[in-house]
Amino acid sequence: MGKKKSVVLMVLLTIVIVALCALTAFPAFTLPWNKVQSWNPAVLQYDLGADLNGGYYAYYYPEGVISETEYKDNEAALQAAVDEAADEDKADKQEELAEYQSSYVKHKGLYISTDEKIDIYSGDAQDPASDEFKAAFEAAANEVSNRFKKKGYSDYRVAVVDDYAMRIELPASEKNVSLSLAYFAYLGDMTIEKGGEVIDIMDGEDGLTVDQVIKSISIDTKYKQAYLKIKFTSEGKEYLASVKDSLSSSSEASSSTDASTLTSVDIKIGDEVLVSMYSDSIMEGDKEARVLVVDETDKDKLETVEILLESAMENGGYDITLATSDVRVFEAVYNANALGNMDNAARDYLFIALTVIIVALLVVPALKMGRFGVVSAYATLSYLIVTGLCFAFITDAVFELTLGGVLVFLAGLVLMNVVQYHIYNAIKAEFSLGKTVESSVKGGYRKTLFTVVDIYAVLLLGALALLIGAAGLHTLALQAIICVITGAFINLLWARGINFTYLSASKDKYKYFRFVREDDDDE
Amino acid sequence: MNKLLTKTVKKVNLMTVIMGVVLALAIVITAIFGINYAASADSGKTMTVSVNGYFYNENKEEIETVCEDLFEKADVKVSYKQHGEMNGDESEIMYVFDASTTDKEMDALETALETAFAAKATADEDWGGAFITVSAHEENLLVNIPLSYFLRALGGVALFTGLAFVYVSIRRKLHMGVLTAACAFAAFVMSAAVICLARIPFTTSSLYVIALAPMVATVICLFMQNKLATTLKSSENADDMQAVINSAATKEALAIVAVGGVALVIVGAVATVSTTWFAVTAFVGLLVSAFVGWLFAPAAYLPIKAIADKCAAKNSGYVGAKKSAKEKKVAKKLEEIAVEEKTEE
Repeated sequence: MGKKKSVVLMVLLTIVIVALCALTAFPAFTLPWNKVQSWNPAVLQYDLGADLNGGYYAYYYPEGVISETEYKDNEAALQAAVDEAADEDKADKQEELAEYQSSYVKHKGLYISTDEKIDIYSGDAQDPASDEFKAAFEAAANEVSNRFKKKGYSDYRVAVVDDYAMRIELPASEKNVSLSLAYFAYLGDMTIEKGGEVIDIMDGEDGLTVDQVIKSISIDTKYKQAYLKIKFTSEGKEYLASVKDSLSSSSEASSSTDASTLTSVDIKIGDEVLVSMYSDSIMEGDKEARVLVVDETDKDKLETVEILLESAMENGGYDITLATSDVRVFEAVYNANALGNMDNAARDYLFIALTVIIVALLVVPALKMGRFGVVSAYATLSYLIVTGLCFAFITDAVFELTLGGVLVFLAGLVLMNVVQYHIYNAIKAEFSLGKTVESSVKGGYRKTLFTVVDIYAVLLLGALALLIGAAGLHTLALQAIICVITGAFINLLWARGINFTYLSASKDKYKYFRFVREDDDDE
Repeated sequence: MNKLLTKTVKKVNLMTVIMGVVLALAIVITAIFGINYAASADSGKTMTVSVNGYFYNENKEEIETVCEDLFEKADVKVSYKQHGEMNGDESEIMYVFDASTTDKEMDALETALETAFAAKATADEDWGGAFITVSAHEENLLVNIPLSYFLRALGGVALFTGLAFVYVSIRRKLHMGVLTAACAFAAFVMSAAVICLARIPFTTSSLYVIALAPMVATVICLFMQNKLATTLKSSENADDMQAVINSAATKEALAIVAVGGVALVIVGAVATVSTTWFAVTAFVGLLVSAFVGWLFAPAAYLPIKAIADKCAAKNSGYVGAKKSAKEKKVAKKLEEIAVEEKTEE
């Protein structure tokens, strides 16, 4: 390639790489011509895991159990009412307060209701929960834990608090946190109703059970939309065929202002309607219903409903009702700053650390390997651009970035630079045999080709093997595939092409590689 | 470095014994004391300070100062704290203590905090708008890290070991494939053992390190194998041991450790504490992988090759030409004559 062409190409390449780097990683700022909008690089689009971005938490309290905070707040309010009451009303208010205090017994950080109607109190203040309640709570806690496990979060926490409440922590990447927390607290029996009554094939002692009516529940996608697919047994199919014509259509349902005029077949957990089937939901010869149609990007919602329905079908209902507290936001553990003003110290510190590493990998190869090191610097920036953009924009559902993703990114970056170093040493070895620079470059690349191919082939097999990992490891495997393919492309083709262009433009090919000619030594 | 390799290349038995001892110790320690889960992945005691939204936004640091001064006076160690915030409503500051903190200590702290906040409200009129409640809790995790996460990570590593074995066996020779598989397995087992033995706080992120360590060791091993293949091809009568020493991936292993190590030190130093423990875990994985790929692989190569050569020799042994029927008849007659002569004697 001619020198002029090479120079032009290098300038263009430099401009493109700088522009893409800015798109990928230039720090966010408010646009000067529009104070409302701001520039956000690709790296700020990541869904970060709980270890980098914290998440959400809420409590589950069984009926009859309240937190110490709620008890003290109510007690304080009643006490304030006593203090503010007129003299003639003071006795009544005092009685109200005393009644409230006697209606609960303290157990660690909770208060257990002594109300006979709720029937969870054992009668013993030292061990206030009855055996039936303890057994029901334990079973419910395990069921709730299994449901969250099936969601496949990279990081989550389900803890029993003070023996009779639960605390659930979910990562910030969970887009439907209120839905997930609310739905997984439903512990009632699963029933199918029409017009508020249990359907006749399930009614009575000889009635069918839910799993005798519903064959399977799964999620399907079509035309960029996702829906819940409910397949029915032959008995279920017969029933649907018999009632289909009497059902309202989904268009009537969406335009109606009075729900009582609508007729649908509802799947309920306890008193909560999860799924309503209308006449046009029923497909394929009445064997199947397609419900809860959402955009494909919102498939996560359907996963929650699917897990809930499947677990209710499999395990039945529980003799306990859970109420969800308010959902609160928490920052990454050990973080210095809270989330109140959109700061995220864990993420910011990590980005600073990665910036220092990338700058070091731009400078050190240039010092060690001369202009070949500058080629490595271009390779480093190219790797950053491709992986940065892929991590941000390749999403089927959630492509969560955790510390594992950061590790895989770093590992790929380090390997790519080590391979460049390996190639440089091979070229140097060829040169030491007395070959010309061009010949040494050709020989060096030829001799290292299969080593590099073998390394990336084995790493790709490793990344594919790790796809069987659960949750965060599965996501890490996807990210590893991106890093491996990017690294392979850069080491085998991209960096070689840049080197060829840069070398063509170089005046002194010996200085390019920091080689010393033997005749220079003699001089 | 060649001097080091010259010594270590003959010491595969010693290395295997040391690795076996480390693994055994790790199993014993883990069986007795359990896995050392990080505080965020373990049960513990908590102190929740609930504050009305307005006062929390204005005075969060002051509330934390009151709490942390009391904890210091009571000599109780806080594992970490968490801010649970809601816009416009009650927010919480949750302090997490080690599970070994006694109920008595927690009750005493709760009372002391309530007294301190009440005293503040009386003494400081800025605290007049504060509604603060303090409650002590005990949290017990149902599952620290689901067993399925461990099993599937193990499955992934086993699958990778198998695939790497098949790939290298096809690309090179069977004994190279066995060496690759041995390195991957050793790196996986050793990184898990060292993390458990050193009682490094364990989270789901630790599983990522344990799953990636075999891949790093395999990469270093592949550098060595390719160099060795080139050396043996170019000089057929090369002394195997010297060829192995010269082919060890010294530069590559040191480059990976140096660059990777510096990167992890920067991440650990600059980022938050939980990231620091992750960087320590990753550094352990990196060192173990470098040991396996750089020192163990060359040492294990020769014995594996010796076994492979033995098997090859056995399978290709000369058993003699097939005898024809005539030759068999002649041989039988000669045998009968020999027996007769012996009887006569």
